[in-house]
Amino acid sequence: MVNIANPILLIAIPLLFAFLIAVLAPWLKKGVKYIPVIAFGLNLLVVFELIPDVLDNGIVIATTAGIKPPFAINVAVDRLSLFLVLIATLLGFLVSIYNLVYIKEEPAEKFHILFTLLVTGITWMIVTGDLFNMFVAFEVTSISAFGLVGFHRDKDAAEAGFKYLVMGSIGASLLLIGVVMLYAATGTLNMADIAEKIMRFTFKQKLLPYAFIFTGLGIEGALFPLNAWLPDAHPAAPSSVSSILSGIMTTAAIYGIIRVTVTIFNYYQVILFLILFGLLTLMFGETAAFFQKDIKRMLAYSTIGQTGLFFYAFSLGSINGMQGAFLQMMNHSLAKATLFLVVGGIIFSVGSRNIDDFAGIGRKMKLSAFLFAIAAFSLMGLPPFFGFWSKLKIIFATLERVNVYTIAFVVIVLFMSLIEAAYFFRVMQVMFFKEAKEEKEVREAPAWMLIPAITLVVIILVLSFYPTPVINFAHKAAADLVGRSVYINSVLGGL
Amino acid sequence: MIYYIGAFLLIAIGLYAIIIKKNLIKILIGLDLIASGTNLLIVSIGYVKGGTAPIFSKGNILAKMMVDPVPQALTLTAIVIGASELALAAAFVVILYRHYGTLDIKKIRSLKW
Repeated sequence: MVNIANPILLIAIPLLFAFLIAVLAPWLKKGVKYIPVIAFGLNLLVVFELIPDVLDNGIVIATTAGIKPPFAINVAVDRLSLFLVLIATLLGFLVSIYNLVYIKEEPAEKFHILFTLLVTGITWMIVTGDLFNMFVAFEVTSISAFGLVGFHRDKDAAEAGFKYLVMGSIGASLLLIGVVMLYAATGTLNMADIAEKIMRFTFKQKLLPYAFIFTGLGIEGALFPLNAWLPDAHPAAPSSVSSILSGIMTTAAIYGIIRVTVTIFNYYQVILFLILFGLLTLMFGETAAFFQKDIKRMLAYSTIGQTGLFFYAFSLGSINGMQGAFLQMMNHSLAKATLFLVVGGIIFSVGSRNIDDFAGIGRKMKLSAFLFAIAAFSLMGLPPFFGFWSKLKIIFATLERVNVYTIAFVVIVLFMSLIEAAYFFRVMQVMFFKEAKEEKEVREAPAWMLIPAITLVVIILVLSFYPTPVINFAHKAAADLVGRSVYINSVLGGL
Repeated sequence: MIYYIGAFLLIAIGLYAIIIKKNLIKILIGLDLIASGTNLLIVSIGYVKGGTAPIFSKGNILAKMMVDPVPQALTLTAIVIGASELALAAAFVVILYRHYGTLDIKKIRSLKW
């Protein structure tokens, strides 16, 4: 029996299948669309196999070429990585089911290749234990994302894709410069090894590489001044791609920042600065979302807001804050992916992205509207849904130390949640209570497009009523992350 | 030292081209300059003056007279990535040109940042 609980398989399997698509496309024709489903199904099995190992040991490490780290490239899955990998693989699997009927436009096989590579890159970025590999994964993710954003090849898509490409590749170059600076300073690329060697560096010596890496990842993670590409790119992409971009790609970039800030740099001096970034992103995203007429643009701005929220929670720096951030990440990924998938179905039937054209949907597409409502409730943090627990956690974490600033932070977070609720309720009001102007034939979306959204909503509902295991798990993940020694010692322990 | 200055100068020129220039092709050139500057930076980090390639060869070469091979491997990877990125960018420029018949970003509606 081969042991499949090896995190390298998480990268290897979909990479193999992605290129198999290219090879098999002339023979399988339409059949290639099933390959991503198989690839991510296998990946999901691997992740499930990994869960008990990670729960027991706290971390699972796999090395390449039979040499021990820090000399070989290694892959490390600790609790935080497992948390995100599970979400990424689950979304990849469900969205590739959605793609079976959603993607009609040619060249479909190229879409499936890029889609598989996109999710692979995200997974790779999360599990890698090597900074240069993180850069490569970042590039695999972003190049496939550029291609997918421009997939429709009309005016909007080409513009959004080009804009995203320019900003994304500047970001990647900055990230690379930062990584290389760290290599020049420490002589290694292994994250744990850098973390150990960088301890004797002063605050100022660490600042320059950190600034480069932060900016590079921040462009992908859509932090406030760096996010001009996002509101164009997400609406221009096909809905299934938007759900991956919104749901997990920004989250993966923020994961990169978290990993670099806490595990590698152990950088608590910049926390105030990070809080500022988080809050600005939150305010910008939510207020801009409020004024949108295009539903996908609204959701894209809402993604910026949510990113700001969990980035803010992370930058509180305490274990409780990070726990809140992880819960919010999960809530955001599940809910926003559902929203994009459902909205994709609605646009598919209605043929318009304007919110005003959605009048009467609540009666004609009952199931879609219902799924939209549940996901939106969870996203805005209405009790008793899962988002409520994560937002509650964030607010409690902020108020651990009560002073003028923390109270101001809480007021901002609550006020922005209110705005978020306002624009989602406005959409629902149009969907459920407004009469359609002219009678149009609108049918429910195809079953294969609804099944992934239904699955995600069921997961959200289960989490809403039994949140305790996930909350405890997130707490342990946060404690491991802040403790740092688990990660560093386990990776270097083999020496 | 001169390599570091050169590398950062290249990156700065590339950024300038992307921010100031209005022509899509010039923006493309700017992207390429940034990538080249980064590659130069990586290689110069591992460079030893008068050093040789780190391979077994005739004569005894001291380890400190060998250049660091890791940055060279990194550069190769970065070059490949940069090339594919640039190819994709060129494809986008072709599509934009077909839609608008111009390369001027002021005439292309929402290409502002």
